Amino acid sequence: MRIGSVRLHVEWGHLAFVLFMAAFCVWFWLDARAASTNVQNLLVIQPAAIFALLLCAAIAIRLVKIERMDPVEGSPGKHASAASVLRALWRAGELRGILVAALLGAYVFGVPLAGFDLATFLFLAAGMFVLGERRPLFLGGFSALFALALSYGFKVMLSVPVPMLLF
Amino acid sequence: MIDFPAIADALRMLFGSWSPWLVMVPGLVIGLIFGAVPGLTTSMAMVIFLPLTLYMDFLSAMIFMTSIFTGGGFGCAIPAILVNIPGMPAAVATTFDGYPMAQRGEHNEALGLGLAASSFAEALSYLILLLLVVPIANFVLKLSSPEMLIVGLWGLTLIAALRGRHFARGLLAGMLGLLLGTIGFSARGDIRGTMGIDYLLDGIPEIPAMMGLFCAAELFKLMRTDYIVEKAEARRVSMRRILSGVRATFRHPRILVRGSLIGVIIGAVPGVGSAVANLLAYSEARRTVSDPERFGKGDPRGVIAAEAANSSSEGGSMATLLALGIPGGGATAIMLGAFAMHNITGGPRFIAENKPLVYAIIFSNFVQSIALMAIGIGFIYLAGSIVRTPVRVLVPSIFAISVFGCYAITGNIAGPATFLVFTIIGWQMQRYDYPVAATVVGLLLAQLVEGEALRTYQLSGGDPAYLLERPIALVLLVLLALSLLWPVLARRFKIGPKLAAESDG
Repeated sequence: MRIGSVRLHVEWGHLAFVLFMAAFCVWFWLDARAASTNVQNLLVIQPAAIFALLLCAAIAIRLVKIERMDPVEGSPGKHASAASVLRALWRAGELRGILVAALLGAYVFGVPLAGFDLATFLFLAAGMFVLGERRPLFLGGFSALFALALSYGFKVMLSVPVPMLLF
Repeated sequence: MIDFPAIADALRMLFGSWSPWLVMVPGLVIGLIFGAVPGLTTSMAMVIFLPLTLYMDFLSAMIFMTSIFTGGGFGCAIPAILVNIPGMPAAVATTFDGYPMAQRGEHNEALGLGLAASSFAEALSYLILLLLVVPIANFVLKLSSPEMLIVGLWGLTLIAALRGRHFARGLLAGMLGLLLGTIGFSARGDIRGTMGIDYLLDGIPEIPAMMGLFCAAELFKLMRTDYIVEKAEARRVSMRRILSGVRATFRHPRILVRGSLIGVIIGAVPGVGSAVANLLAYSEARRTVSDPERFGKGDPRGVIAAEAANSSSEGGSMATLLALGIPGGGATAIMLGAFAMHNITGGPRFIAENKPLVYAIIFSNFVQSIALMAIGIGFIYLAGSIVRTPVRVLVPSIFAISVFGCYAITGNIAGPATFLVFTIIGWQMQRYDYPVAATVVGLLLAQLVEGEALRTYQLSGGDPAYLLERPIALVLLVLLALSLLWPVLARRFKIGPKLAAESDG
């Protein structure tokens, strides 16, 4: 980001994460205070939240770097296309990470609907595909065997009811 | 100190029949499996198999339970070394050097180091228990709430100081864990931070959260590679190299013995246990060597210290359980359940009334430590095949096992949902170089810290001068302050200049 003769280097992703943590600390502190302002309730939460917020501030300040530059200097900047950004993200493994995280979310929330056996089969097959496995027989066979073995094993071992489609 | 007639009776109990020994090998194997599979824990194994002990006499039941405990003590080091996911909090420090060793293709040696350190420390801890069961019980009784509070906070700051590179980020990660750990009911019944979700009233499920943080930290990084260890020759499991790791363990006797002793002492403190013991032993090992900068980069001494401490803490926690009837953690709490199932009451009078039985339990653990060496080597051979599995198969499989494991722990979808949330948090923490281990330690110690802070406040009436009357608390407070000021002190006195420089930020 450039303002006049000053250029700001900001680690936006990291800064957003620090702000998220700071927001959680403020929200939790206020929520605890709303529950009760008794010392016994806030004995740990209040000092820990304040300390965490100070740390957030100290870290956030270091994420913004100011650089002075010659007014005539400066590059027009590269305008990357959406496709090239996606390609770069895929190469860096970021997109695969996002896809696997999304699949994990679908898996966790799909378990009550589809049962552990089917949801596990689908998650394994889709997860392996996203990570580069392309052999259809292996995708189907390994996912089915692993999902069935895991589902059956846990169902036998656990005393609590486990949502299943087949067992 | 030692009652020899009782020892003679103990040996008669142990060698008078086969039944006490028949349960040892299954117990060790169960412990190894549950420790080695991310998502399953020793406590879970003990709970699942607790009903079986109803069909055993009390000595066999205790041998079975302690065998699971022993197997799990080493089992959790296997995923910690191979995939950087500690099966349990006890193996957090094992990841610091164990995984870098695996990345260098030295996973065989690292596993050999872990196994030998675990077996040796286990035997040493029970030897100490044999000699010092009464004095240990007396010392632990002197630790009151202020001391316990400081021990808890010390454990929390240690992790931030340990991870070295970014001290502020380590502390923030620890504080975040501490805050997350206080979600739910307070001691007064106030409800904090639950967002109206009933599942959170008893707090965030710790093990699913811990699994999410650790899974994410490594699995998302692993996705960029084809194998955990890229070189094909480095993925081979070699008995010769495992044994070379076993031998290498005994080239560092000081680290081994010191780690074991720290484990025994910390293990004897209720509520702290192996999760702190391995961190403290690792920190001590790094502090006392001439080349601390090698720690965290695959130094065998780090693995030895961490594994010795987490295994020897079993002996310490058994001391507290047997001497006081106080469980130091989940595993000993379940053992106390086994006591109750056999109509036996734990507590200070238990040892006095059952000396032969206590000695028999101790002797059986000496045999367990030898058996662990033999069974553990065979088990490593199987578990080592993890590094030969392609990452594209391994990552979704570990996620699936973890989701099942989380469901097993909570018995409902709250476990997998917690796992998901903390997976995403851990992924971001790993991206920006925040130590997830600090958050995990904060989360695990939050209840202890809040409970002890409350009791200290009540005892002192809010007057800080109260601490001046407690010499042990003062010593611990100085150690806590030194941990917090470590980066400043290191820079000021030029101790480990590289580490101090790295601690900025």
